[in-house]
Amino acid sequence: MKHPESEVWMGWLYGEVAPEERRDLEAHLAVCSECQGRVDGWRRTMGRLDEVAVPCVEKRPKRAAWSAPHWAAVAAGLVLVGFLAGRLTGVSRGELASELGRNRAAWMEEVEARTDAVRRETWQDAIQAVREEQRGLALELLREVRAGRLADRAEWVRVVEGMDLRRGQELVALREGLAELASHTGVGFETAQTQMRLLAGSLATTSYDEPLKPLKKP
Amino acid sequence: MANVWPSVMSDEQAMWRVQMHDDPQAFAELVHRWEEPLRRMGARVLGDVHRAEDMAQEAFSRVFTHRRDFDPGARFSTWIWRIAVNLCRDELRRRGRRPETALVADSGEPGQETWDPATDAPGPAEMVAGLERAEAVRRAVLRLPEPLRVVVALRHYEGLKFHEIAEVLAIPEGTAKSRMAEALDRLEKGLRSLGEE
Repeated sequence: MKHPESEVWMGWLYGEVAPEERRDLEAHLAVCSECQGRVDGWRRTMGRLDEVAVPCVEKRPKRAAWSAPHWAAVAAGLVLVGFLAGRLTGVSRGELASELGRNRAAWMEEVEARTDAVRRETWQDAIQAVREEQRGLALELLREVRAGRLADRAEWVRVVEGMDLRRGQELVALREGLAELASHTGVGFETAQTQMRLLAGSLATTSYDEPLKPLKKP
Repeated sequence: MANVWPSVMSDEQAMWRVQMHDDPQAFAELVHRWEEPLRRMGARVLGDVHRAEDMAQEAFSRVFTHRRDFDPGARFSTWIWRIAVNLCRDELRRRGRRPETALVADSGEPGQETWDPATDAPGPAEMVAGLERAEAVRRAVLRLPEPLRVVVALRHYEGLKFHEIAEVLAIPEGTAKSRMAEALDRLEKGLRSLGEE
């Protein structure tokens, strides 16, 4: 027996199959204990999913990022530890000075790198602030709209009435324009009719049997 | 807003007004319609209703900021769900770990009401048992990998059709269905102990 794929059963469980396919699947389910077991399991789980309320978890406070002075203090501390360690291990003053010089350069690079990172973070914070501001503006707009709902409605009605009035005026103007056009068209039509009548009259007096008279020279 | 805007106005028509005229009322109407679904989906995917609220706000902020990018021929629902799902993914990536799983009941949710012995409502013991069961299910959902969890949130809780989920996530419809089946299989295994109670 060929069992329908789990995707097909998902469509059936969520009522997304065509009636014909649904009938086929139900007919299969009636005779297939294996599929019945699977479907029962899914149904049971779907029922449990329905018991879940929307979750809510307290937010944890964000860990504040270290600033440049923090990193500088750390670097200074490392210098001091290095110096004391040198003194305690009995290294000569000259060796210690050269070691400190080397370490100092490395530490300064580290401090600069960290400072750059902090600057980047600050820049990202600035971008974030701009976004926040924009979002704030959008929300402010939203609040204003919500607060002034009644006033908005009155304003909206006024605008719609104004639009209606303007539309009415436009319709009147259009009607007048059409009337004028019709009138002009009527005049033009009458003129054309008159001209045709005159032309017809002149043709009626002309005999086509007579040879054409040569045109008079001007 | 519903008193100003007719409820027959579709999301797409409202979005068109936002897009073309920066219409604040149309934007407010979209927020009114969508803030709760986005918050719910975010809470289920992120496991944190506060972050879900932040996510919903950010989603609306993006809708407004990128209003010119909205394709008038597309469905607004697909667009906003996609924005919200991407924001959830960003948030989970930022955290780089599984979402919180401790339960703090949300106001207005079942279990938050005071018990009245005069009614047929479940008593405190039943309510506690129910909450524990729900908490176990919720934890199991939050243990699902993010792609499966999103499908569960959109199909089971938000009622999107599989083809709509496929469009939102840019995956084939069959993949959306198989993810749902896999999610249900995993949940069933994870919740087997509940059935044995």
